Amino acid sequence: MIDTSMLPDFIVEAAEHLEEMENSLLKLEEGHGKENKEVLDELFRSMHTIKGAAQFVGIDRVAGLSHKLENLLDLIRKGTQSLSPAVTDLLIESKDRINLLVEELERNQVEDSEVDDLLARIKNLVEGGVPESPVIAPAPPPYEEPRKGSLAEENMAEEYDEELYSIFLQQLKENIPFLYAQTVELSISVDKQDVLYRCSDSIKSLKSSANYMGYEKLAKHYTDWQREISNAVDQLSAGKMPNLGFMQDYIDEIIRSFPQAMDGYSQEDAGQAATKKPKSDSAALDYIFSSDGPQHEDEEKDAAQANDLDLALDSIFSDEDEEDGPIAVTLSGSVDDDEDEENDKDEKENVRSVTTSSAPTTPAPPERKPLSLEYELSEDEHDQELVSIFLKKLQTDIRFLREQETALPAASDKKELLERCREAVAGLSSSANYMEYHSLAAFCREWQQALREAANGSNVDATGALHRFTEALIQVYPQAVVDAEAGKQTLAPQPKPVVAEAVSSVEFDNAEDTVISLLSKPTGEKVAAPVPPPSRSVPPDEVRHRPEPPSAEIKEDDSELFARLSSALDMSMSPRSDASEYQMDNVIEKIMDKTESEPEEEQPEELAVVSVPEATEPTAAPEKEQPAPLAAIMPEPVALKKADAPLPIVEEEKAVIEEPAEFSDEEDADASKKSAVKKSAPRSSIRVDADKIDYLMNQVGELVVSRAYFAQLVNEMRGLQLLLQERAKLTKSELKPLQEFAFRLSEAGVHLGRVSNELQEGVMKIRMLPIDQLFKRYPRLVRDLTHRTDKDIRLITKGEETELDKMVIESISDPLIHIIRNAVDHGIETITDRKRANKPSQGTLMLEAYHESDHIVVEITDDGRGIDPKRIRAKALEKGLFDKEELDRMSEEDIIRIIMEPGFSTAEKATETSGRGVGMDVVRKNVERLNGMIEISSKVGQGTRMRIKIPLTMAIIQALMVRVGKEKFTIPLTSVEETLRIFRHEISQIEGVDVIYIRDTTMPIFQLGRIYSIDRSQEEEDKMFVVVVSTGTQEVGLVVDELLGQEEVVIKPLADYLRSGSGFGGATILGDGGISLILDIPELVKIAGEEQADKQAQRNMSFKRRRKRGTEEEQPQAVIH
Amino acid sequence: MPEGFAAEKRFADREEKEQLMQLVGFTIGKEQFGVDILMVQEIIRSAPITSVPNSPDFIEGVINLRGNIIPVIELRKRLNLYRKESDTKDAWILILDIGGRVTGFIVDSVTKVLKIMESTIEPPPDVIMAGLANRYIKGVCDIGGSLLILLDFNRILMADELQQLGSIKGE
Repeated sequence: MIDTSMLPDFIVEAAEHLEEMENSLLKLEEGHGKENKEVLDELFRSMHTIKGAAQFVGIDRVAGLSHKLENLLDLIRKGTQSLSPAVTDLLIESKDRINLLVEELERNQVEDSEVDDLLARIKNLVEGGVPESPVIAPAPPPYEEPRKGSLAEENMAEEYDEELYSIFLQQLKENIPFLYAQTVELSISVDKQDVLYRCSDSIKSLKSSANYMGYEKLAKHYTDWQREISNAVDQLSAGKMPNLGFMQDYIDEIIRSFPQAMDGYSQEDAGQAATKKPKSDSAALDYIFSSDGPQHEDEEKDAAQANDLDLALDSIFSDEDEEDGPIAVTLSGSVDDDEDEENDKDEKENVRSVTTSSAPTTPAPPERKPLSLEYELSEDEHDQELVSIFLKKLQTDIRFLREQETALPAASDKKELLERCREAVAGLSSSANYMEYHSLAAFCREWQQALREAANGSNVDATGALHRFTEALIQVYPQAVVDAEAGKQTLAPQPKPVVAEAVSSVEFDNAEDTVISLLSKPTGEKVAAPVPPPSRSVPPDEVRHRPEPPSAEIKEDDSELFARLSSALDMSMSPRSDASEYQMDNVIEKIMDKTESEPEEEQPEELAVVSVPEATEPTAAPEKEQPAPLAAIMPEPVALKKADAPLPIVEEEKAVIEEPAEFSDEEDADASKKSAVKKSAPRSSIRVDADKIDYLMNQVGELVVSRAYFAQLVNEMRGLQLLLQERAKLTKSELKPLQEFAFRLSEAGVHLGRVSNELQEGVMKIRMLPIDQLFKRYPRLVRDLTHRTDKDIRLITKGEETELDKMVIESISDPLIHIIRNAVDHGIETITDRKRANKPSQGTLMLEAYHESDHIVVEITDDGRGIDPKRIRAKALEKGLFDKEELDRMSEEDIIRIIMEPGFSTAEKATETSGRGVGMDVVRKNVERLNGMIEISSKVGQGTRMRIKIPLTMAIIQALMVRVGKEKFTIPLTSVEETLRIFRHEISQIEGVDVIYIRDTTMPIFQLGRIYSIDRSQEEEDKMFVVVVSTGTQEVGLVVDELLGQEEVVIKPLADYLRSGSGFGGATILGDGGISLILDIPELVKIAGEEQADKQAQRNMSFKRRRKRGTEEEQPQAVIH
Repeated sequence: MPEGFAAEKRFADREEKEQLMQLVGFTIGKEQFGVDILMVQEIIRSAPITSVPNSPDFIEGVINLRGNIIPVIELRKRLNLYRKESDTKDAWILILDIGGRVTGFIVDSVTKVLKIMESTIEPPPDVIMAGLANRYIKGVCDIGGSLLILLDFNRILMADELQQLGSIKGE
């Protein structure tokens, strides 16, 4: 069910939207009142997108839940549902559930969590909240209709999926009236077999939908029906006259069960249609269309006063208003696998049957009116992808058709060529159906009919027929022509590949597929979703026109007429004024006139109508159930777009199309997604696999290493020069070429250095993300923590734009959560306490990020009660972490730092009395892992400030290189406080620990050589270097043999079993290709401390034994190496 | 039709390949060992090894393999085989890719690439082979009179993690 190939994309996208939603939800909760319209719109859009994507990928629960939420949001937006705390809670909870589901999907590709409880709650809320507003209620109209008939008993309103049901109903509404008309026709038609075939196809699609819905009885009903039909067909072909009364029986049964299927099609009308043969066709079609969407009151009113044509038009307009236009459609059918032309031939039969079933045009009415075609492209941003796919198809098809048109006069097998064209049109028709561009679909059906006639030889001027339709189409969809023009030139000489391409995009049009794709199409929002995308579909069929033997002039006039008609329709859609109606009638009259006589002149004023701005539509909206924010959602008037240059998206698509390669579904989706993104977001960004960047970073690291190597070579060169000078006694002039070369070499080295520096910076910047990513997670945290407590906390964030390494961002996320939680739980007092302390009742928590040289500083400041050192002291004493003397010696700051000691926090958490301490040791560890530091300053009663200082990146660091024995070690410069040179006699021992006196305090020193058991027998013992490192909590000195200098090093990972417990955080490659291990200072200090604690323990036992033990202790370590 | 034939042939080829296994043979002391050639990334002669203090003793250190830092395990120590002979200079380092973890193993010598039928590989015997715990053995195989031991390097790496964990606790 779930399309796993699309899943990663979905997860990323959903996560983004969820994050956005979280912000919006919090804003919503904060702002009470009406001014959060914008927020609601944002929320709604996010939800809509998630829903669409989920349906697209086939993630049912997310789709279901988000759909309900979408409805709920819409109700809120319209003001029908009040925004009570309960509602926001529900929204937040639902959002969390979706989050959870997405996480589950990410982990194991399945949705584990149930959503039913939330669905039920939403339902309760909606039903309770809006008891009587059928107009807005998300339930589809059939919901309310009483059901009778034996077939209906399977319909369980509680059980079925609204969306599926509406698709099902749609199918029913399209097919049943058609079948009805066919049944009537059957009695009078000469070619009964043909009619029966058409019926059979129609039933087949109905059956699929019944199957899909799990209506077994209904499916069986259809099966029986089909069997009867095939029996009848057999009898017919045997020359017998079967009893065709069964048709009526079957239809009656269905209508009894699903009365809504015949909405707008009263028995009376049916009778009329029957008597009016052979015109019944168009009549039946009118009903099809009028029953296309949910019934509307306007319709009846209009029906009473308008003539036939107006009735049909109006009904469709009213339909349009309710329809949601293009919907997220599974792409399965819209772009297809390419198959060979041979296969196509086989499929022709299929294609034909589909098209005939959907376009019942035989026997053709004697008089036909010109085609109408309306610009239906939706500008709804959510459906950009679909639109662009559709446009691409349109372009391909038009290019193909135009090309065929040129080839036609010269073609040897005209029939086949026309057949191919027809298939292309059939494909287009299906696309149009997907997009719910009814006018285009109808147009296509008409077109196919014309082509079929041309192929059969009944219409002589095939080229004309082709041309007329193509031009008409281009007229309305100017985007398509841009490419078609280009395609025509480039591709006309070599038609073969084009044929393949066009064919490939066409051939999915086989009945089964169509039905399936229709079924899988999530059309729920048709009834329920509130955003009315301006899909501009317009009735085509009632102004049906038989392709006449066209002349050149007619071609011209036709296209003009199309333009006029479409603009008139456009116009009539917007304000429902008499004027527009009049205008439309006018045009239609004109068209009708034209079919009989050539038109004399155009009406110039009609052209202006094309650009009737969308903004007028909302004025007509209320009565048509259109929510007001329409204009906000699509700020640009569609009509203007149409008149203007082609959409940007088209250009994007064009580039794609120009590549001859076939595209898979995914690629298509991707391409269109990209273009959509490009269009919607002003700042362009691409999503890149993090691994790729890591790889690049790695390579840059290599470059940095080679640069160091280069520098080393230059040094060696100098050495060589000196050597030559001394040993070989070369004169200065003899050495000159060498000198020059050395100089050039060093120049080149400098250049390389410059370039690699910039490259390194550039790559590092790629990894940089604004800390906003992190900060925007916390409002929710604060909200949750203060929810239902008597605390009021305002979270302020500053410096969100500060950028830092993505990896760093991820690693400080948790520490920040800890700190914020502490601040909220323990730092900031309750409202009453604050009032008592003469503080503003609202507490303030400030998150601030800024740069400080190579570091990022994140400060978390609260104005709470602060940390009381006395209490910390008491606690530390009580827990036995430190003894009294130690504590006495500590400064206040040091005492506060105790909260970050492991062992301190747990007690604090258990009693939950005061201050901080929940997981502060974890915080410290995390920060230290990043080579960062954490500082705490606090004043009792005034607040606390935590200051986290972390390096910008973790991949390349500044480091101090030291030597111990023969080993070279790397110490991150962030940990280095200073370096000292001491003499042996300066070291004294306190409690078995080597210490030195520095600035009036003692500082423990560790021999790096001893910790790592490095043989340094050759080193002089008297003078030594001490690197003073800081772990944040304490400063210690590391005794090394030599300081090699400061270098920029690239951190390379070490195997985990080498890292743990060894005191090494990684390794780096030196200029000469050697390896130097990078010290993990906090870990190292810990190891050294443990060793010392061991020693101390021994010492406590007895001095003698300690001595003995101490030597022993060092022994085994030496053996290891 | 020709396509079908080709597919059939490919299938047959694959089947043959499945049966035929290529091994890189190497020795430690007198014992002969083998490792699937597909795991072998490369074989290098002694590279400068940087020792890592405080690491398990069978870890010889790390090497720089074209910018990547790769741990090198002394296989003899790892498997607790006989006492190490004095000369390590001629040692070879087998660089293996073990489930994405590139690791070097020091062996005495690399002999040759062997082709054996997969069916000739037998499960490890219950008795201890060459003083080697049989959990590290994937199978044994007779090659012209002498026995070749196929090592299970996944186990070798995995177990060493366990050992490492144990040693931390021990500390």
